[in-house]
Amino acid sequence: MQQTASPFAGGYAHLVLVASLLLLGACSTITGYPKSAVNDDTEIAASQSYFSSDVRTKEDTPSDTTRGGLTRQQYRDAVVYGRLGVIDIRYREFEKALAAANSGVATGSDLTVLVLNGLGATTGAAAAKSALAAASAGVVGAKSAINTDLFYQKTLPALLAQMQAGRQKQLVVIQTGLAKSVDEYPLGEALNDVQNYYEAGTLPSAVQQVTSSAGAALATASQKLDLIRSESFIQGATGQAALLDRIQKLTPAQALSAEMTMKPKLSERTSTLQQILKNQFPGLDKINDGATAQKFLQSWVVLDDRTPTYQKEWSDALDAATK
Amino acid sequence: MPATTTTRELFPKATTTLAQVQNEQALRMKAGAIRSNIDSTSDPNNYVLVTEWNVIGENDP
Repeated sequence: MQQTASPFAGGYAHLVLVASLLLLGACSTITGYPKSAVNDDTEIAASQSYFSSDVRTKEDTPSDTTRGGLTRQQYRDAVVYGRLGVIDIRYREFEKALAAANSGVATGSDLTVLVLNGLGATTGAAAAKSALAAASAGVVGAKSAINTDLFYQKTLPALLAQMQAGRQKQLVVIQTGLAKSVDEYPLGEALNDVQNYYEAGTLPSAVQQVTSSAGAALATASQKLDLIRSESFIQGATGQAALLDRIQKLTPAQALSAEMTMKPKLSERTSTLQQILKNQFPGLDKINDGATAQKFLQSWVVLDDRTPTYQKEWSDALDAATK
Repeated sequence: MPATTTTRELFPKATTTLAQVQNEQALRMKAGAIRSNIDSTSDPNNYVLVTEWNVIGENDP
């Protein structure tokens, strides 16, 4: 049956376009941050004196007059807190911009797709359906392109958390320092710490901190998988080499048979050895071909503890598989 | 490129000779390891035998 073009098709298409633009436009203001209670520009302008190049000279001057009547310690604290305030304002702007680039677009396109799909389902006109489907597909495509940016989807939240943690850690250093006298914690040292506080709130610093933590965690995890070899292990080398020879001569069917006999005994081995073999053979629980079974047995036999009991288990399993 | 996994085995220098560790190294190569190296310097108390193995996954031929 021939479809008749709906007189409302063009109207629907325009409606869809307007709805899309409204939603996408509206989402740009949804960032998850309320409007700042203070005027950031005014705050920054008021703190400019703390950034002048002669703050160190002023701090060293014996007379309080050049510091506007402030003692050296009061002046140090004022400069440090003034700079921290501006760094915090800039950091919030930065954080807000990153969050807006992420949630604004993703949420907006989600909403738009829902609206377009809803209109597409309820309208009766084929042409309107077609227009809505095309618009919906376009939005889905745009969203898909945006979502391929894994930085915003997965990495950014972790980096934001790392930046916040790094800043907090550095703030503790500064506050501990400010509790000391100006001779113990002079302005020069405090300003170095303030600079570190700023850098802790940057993406390169967060990446570096996350990488360092991951490296340390990996080293710790690797340490736990170290196998400690005793004198008796070394003494069992000849016997284990003979077992390896036998495994390498197995036919695929024999290897599968030996693997089926030995695998239940793996749970009696150390958790470290079990983990190592699981790492090398992720499909350990469902080995169903002779070649894989043979590789599994080869790895296991050379890494296995060489107690008389275990060596007898190997010998018996190979005897049974080859009889 | 296939994934790999690495084993680290510590052989106490007090009870093990370098030749014995080399024998163990040869055994791992025979068993199918990609490479195996003896680190005799980084740990004063142990020879460290570091062996790399291919991960045998479900999709491997």
